[in-house]
Amino acid sequence: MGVTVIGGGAAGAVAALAARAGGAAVDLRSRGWGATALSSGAIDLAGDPAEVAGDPWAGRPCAARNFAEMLRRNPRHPLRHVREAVASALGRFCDHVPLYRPRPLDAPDLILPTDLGTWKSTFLAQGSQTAAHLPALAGKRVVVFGFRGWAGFAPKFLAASLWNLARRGGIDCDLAVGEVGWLEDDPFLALREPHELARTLDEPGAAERLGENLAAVDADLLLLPPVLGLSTVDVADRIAGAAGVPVAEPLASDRSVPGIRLQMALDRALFAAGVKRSNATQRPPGPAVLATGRFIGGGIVRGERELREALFDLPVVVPGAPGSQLSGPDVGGPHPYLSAGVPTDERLRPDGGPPGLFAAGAVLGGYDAIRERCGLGAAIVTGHVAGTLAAEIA
Amino acid sequence: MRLLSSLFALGVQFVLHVVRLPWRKAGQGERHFLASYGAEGLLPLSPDERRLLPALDRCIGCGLCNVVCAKLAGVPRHAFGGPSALGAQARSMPDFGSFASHVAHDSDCADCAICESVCPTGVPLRDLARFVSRHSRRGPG
Amino acid sequence: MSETGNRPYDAVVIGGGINGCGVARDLTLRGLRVALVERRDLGAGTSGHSSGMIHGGPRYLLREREVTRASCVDAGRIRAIAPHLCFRIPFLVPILRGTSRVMAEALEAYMEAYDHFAPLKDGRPHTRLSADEARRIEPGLGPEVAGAVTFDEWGIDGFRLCLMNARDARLHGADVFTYSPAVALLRDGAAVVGAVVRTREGERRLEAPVVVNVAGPWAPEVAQLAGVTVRLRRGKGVHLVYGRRLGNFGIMTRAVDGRWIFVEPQQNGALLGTTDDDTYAGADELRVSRDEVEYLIEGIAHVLPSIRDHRFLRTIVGVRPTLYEYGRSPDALSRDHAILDHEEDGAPGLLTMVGGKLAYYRAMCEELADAVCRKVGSQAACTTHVRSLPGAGAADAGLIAERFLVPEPAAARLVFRHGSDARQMLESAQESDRGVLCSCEPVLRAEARYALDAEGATSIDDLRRRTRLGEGTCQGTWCIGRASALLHEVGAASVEQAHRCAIESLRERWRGRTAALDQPGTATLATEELMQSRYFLVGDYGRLPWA
Repeated sequence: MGVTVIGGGAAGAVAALAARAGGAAVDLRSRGWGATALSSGAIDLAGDPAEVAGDPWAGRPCAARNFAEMLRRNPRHPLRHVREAVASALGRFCDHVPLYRPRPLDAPDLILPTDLGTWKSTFLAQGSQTAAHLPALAGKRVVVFGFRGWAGFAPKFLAASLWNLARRGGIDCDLAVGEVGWLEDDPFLALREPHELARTLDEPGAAERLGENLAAVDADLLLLPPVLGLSTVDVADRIAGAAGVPVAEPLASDRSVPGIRLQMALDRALFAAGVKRSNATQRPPGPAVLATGRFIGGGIVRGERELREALFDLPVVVPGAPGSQLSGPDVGGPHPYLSAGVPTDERLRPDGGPPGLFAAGAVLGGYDAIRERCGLGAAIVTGHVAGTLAAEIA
Repeated sequence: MRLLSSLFALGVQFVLHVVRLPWRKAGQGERHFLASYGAEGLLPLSPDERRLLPALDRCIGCGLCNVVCAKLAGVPRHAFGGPSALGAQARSMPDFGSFASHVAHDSDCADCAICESVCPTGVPLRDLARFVSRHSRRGPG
Repeated sequence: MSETGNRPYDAVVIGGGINGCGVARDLTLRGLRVALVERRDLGAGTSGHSSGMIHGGPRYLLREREVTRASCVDAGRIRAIAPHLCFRIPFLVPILRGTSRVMAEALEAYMEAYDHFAPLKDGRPHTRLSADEARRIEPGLGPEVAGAVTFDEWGIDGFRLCLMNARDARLHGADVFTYSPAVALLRDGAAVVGAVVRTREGERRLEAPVVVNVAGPWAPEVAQLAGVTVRLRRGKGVHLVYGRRLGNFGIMTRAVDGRWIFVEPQQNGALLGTTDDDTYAGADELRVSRDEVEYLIEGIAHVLPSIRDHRFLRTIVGVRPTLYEYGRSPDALSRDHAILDHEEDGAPGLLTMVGGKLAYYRAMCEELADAVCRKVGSQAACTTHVRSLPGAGAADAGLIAERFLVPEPAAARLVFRHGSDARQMLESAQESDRGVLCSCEPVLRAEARYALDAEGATSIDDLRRRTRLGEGTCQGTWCIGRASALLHEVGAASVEQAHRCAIESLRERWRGRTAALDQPGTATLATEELMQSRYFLVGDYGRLPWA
């Protein structure tokens, strides 16, 4: 009897890999992509809960410290069940997904540029993103490059905004703007989406060619559009090699290529580990991990009257008094619906669920991935634990 | 006064209408309706299309379908926007004619269904392509 | 926006809705010097939150036949001067099972009466459908439907209509000030001789012998600046906005309380509306309740059950500046308009116009302009019915798509909004501006840039009104961020302003969405999750120092 994992995003994939490592045969059922494929490249574990506006990196918080504070503030956080597993879960994740290199939990958070012109702190990011860590750029010269004729990236706005915010955080770096040619022979360049550009950089020799176009630039770091490869993981390094200057891409929130890159890397890891994929829909015969996500993933749906868990009709809890609005008083939140999910016991078994069922990731609820900044981190850690536990009883 | 004259006019109309009733031919309404509006591309939905439509509301515009669309790489990009363009933009049947080149290119890919396999909300993209295709041909001119 | 020198004006028009833009155009075409001032953006008030139809008002046949005639005449004229902004909406009026023969024939007779006026606006004659015929035309009609009558009206983009009127006024010499509330009126003794407006650069005195108050629901506040009392019945109207056409035809029927409501295709979406309730709240405090949503859906579901299967994207709410009358229900109030000369109230030089309908704005404005001209001693005649609005010539989306290598769906929407001006816009656009800014509408970058450079847009919400950016299924999740970068790129905003505009727009979109969160399914909540992730997780907008 093997383990069934339902959901192929970060939580489900990590659960499947953990179950395989535990010796079980694994059948993974997924239906569509979800929040993981739309993620920015960052793996949040526990954000700095400081409410101080404009100075998120005061004191350079680290994951370990934030984590403890996060659990203190949110006693219902599902990560409280699995805190001992955090380091090993994230370590194993990096083994399976070499896009990410492991970092110690007490290392200061990464502070990385985003495609919205802001700086975001996070625990892990992809190798093509980490060179743009803000504290490392103090006193350095960064040139933000766009592709001539392609408006999917706004270097002038990014440079101005990033510089402004960095200065307010006490870090002075020189942010300039540049333009490089790429795919200039393509009459449809203006209409290309980020993933199309990323695919062109997957081709053999492409990264080197782009790097050569950037070779004469006087800079300590080149910040390029977040399209540095889709299925190839060393594009940024090869561009940097040919350019002679370190290269990075920002965290992406608009048609994010790093998110798709992560999803594809997880799919490759699943294949390499011998995880079976299927479309089966009947009740799983043995132990199973429910990793169906929240709303984007479709794990939690709105019924006629209330939120429901989509597959097993498990009870869903929305924090706040009964009958409260799903959304908060302002667009900035906090919003109750973001914390909606399926409560579990300390072994990640959902309340009211059939025996042998575990749950992981966004379907768990009890935490606000946006405000607490712990989305993919929670998915990976709970996925790892759920998969391990499921394999134990398989 | 206005009220009285308005009611009077309506009353006259009603009487005329009743008087003409015996001469009214049945079954002309639909014909006249379609003749009046069909030429401008304002056509009825079929029962199947009426049933299909709510599922198309599931599109949230995430664009993931385009990432896996095999056709996107090989075609003139202004003539083909991928399944994402259909999902997010093909919302007004009289405008479906502007997707004609789009659906002409995907007469093959309407069945590969890889786009459907990644769609987070389960939009029936193949049915959508067929729906757009039917109406893009029925348009005026 | 721009202004050309400090010479006094012949008229200051307060209010940038359809009446303000319309009368400014009329007066300017008659050769008068006009200043149009608007406290927010053109069309941001009632004119942008209506049902989006220039209709003939068939319901007024019952009590105010003249209003129907006037509406049909004017709708025909509006269509003639802006054919590209109009689209035909055939309507089905289902006849329910159990309706007596007399009532059914009376309904058709009513439509025959309307047929007399329909040709004034190029409307087609009514038809009468049996139950089977009706179902073939609209397969979703429920078992309660035993037949139908049909007629048609014209849909229009209210924002673009306001904008094109103002643009024409500007082209002929008017000065237009947006984001410039009138804070005081200039007096010379009792006479009103102009207005003081607070522009973004500071206060300005605009001197004119006539001040026209067309501020819609805010008309009483403007009149108060002269100590004059104007009373209105402010009627709140809610619509549900659907993200696609639910069909090519509208359906008009009675809600549970007997009021007529409808669902109609509106460009590439659909509107379900509307309500009519007295409101005393300020414009920004208006909220939409679950009761209002359910009332509307229940009413349509009675004849089109599948409406419940459809997901609406948001709600919009507007306030009608209806003529005051105590003791009548909102539905029964007159939709006529009134021009008030406040000379009788001790404030000569101030004119107010209230009431009326978008459908015959041009005629209302003609009457108002006539009154203004009498005051300033001008004999010039109105020409707004014979001169086309900008963009009224023909354009071919297919040809434009091929010539400029832009997607034809984008060209089609561009041509709808800009008509014959579309080609010129693309001729002068740079390479990368052939790209798409709003992926749902869609909107080309070239069009957004043009709105910023030449149509007076200064914020993302201004862009939305002009281009429908953010009105599609993603509700701005992608394009609001892209637009904020564009604002900075064209020099319309600093970094701080660009981020603030983005948050403002996110807030505006979100406000309309809260009533939509309770629908069955996941898509609306998924949209929320996506938007929150992009801006508040990755963008960390909640911790911007200037948020």
